[in-house]
Amino acid sequence: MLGPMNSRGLTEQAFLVLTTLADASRHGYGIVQEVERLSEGRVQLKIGTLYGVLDRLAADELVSLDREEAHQGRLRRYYRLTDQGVQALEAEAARLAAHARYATERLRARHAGGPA
Amino acid sequence: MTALESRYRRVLRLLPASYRAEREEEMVSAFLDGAGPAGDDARPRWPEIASVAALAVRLRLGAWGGAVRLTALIGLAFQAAMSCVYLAQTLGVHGLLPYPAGELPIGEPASAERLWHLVRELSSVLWIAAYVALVRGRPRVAKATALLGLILYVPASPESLPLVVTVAALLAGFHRDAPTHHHPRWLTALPLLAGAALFLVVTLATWAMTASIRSPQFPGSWAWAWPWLSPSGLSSLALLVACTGYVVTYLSTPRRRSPSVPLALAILTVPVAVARLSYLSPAADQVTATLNAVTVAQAVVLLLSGVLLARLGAAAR
Repeated sequence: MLGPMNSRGLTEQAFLVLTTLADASRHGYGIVQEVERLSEGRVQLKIGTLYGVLDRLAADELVSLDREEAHQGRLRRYYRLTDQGVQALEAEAARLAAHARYATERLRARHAGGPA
Repeated sequence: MTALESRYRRVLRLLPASYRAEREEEMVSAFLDGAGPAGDDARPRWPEIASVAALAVRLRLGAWGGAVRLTALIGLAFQAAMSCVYLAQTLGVHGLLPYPAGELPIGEPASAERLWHLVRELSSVLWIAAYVALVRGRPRVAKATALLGLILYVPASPESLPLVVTVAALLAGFHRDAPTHHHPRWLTALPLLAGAALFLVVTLATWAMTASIRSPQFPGSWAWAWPWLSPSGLSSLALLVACTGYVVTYLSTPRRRSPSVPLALAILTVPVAVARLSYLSPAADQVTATLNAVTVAQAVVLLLSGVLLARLGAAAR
């Protein structure tokens, strides 16, 4: 199984989890809901998968525990991005944006009658 | 507790006990948030169970991965400390340290033989470089330098077995997708300090033994000390101290229990015990019998410690 950080960058699940934490700290199920919303229903994280991703992100010091709250008598732990997590997310977002830009430019050239 | 909650908790029993102690409550909370207002006859869905099973497999394999990486780190730390001793001894033999080494360089001056031995002796610096690279988060550099060090070391006897196991652990444990681990900077200097202490101990022991060699009682108590002064003897001593330290920590500070540390120490006890047993020789006299008795005792205590640590490591997973 690939970790969230590898030589090819972040996995998609890790990227989405970090993205959900970019604007606010969230608890486990809050992250699951937000990932589903961001990916327009395409990525539905299971709880076991989510905690696997969170463990690796925490081991790489990209996320950390923000606070604990009791909700309806149950424990909720909120996670937040670390400074390293912000840097990793910015780098990955820039990398993906560059790839998307190259793909768009080449498709535009193709449609304009350039090399196939 | 609702029936659904107890079913979720039953699924979470797939996870290692230490992980459950840390995560169970928030995972149950997340499961129940996701289940919404489900009826009491609701059950965890199969994809959820599968995701917990996959996490359990990853955690249990991860404990072994962590142990293998720690085996490499501990093995390299010891070899880096010994390398400091070897380098100091080499400098002494070539007259570059202000103390009487008592030995001469091997081979004629300016001969190929002397050059080859000098290159081999100076190759100790590769182990220090490998250790520093590993601590500083450069496992590829560590692997390359350790492999080169092993090739120049020419492993040919059981004494080199701990080193072969260390390099194998380094190659196997630090793969492309292994998690990065940040070590404190002071760890870089640890083998240098340990090496300086070891050099002092080995040099003083050698001088003391040389001084007592003409005594009619020789070897006397040296027969009991000698088996601790070879590289594998010193690594037995270091391992036994580390094992005792871990057991004391295990008993006194439960939150510091870890599966990786005892498993890594347990892995290392095996090649070191085998290396010690290679020193056994037919007991023709009282001195050899004493050396053999100490050597067998070292190997037995090492293997028993290894079994105990493996059990403690398995219990903490």
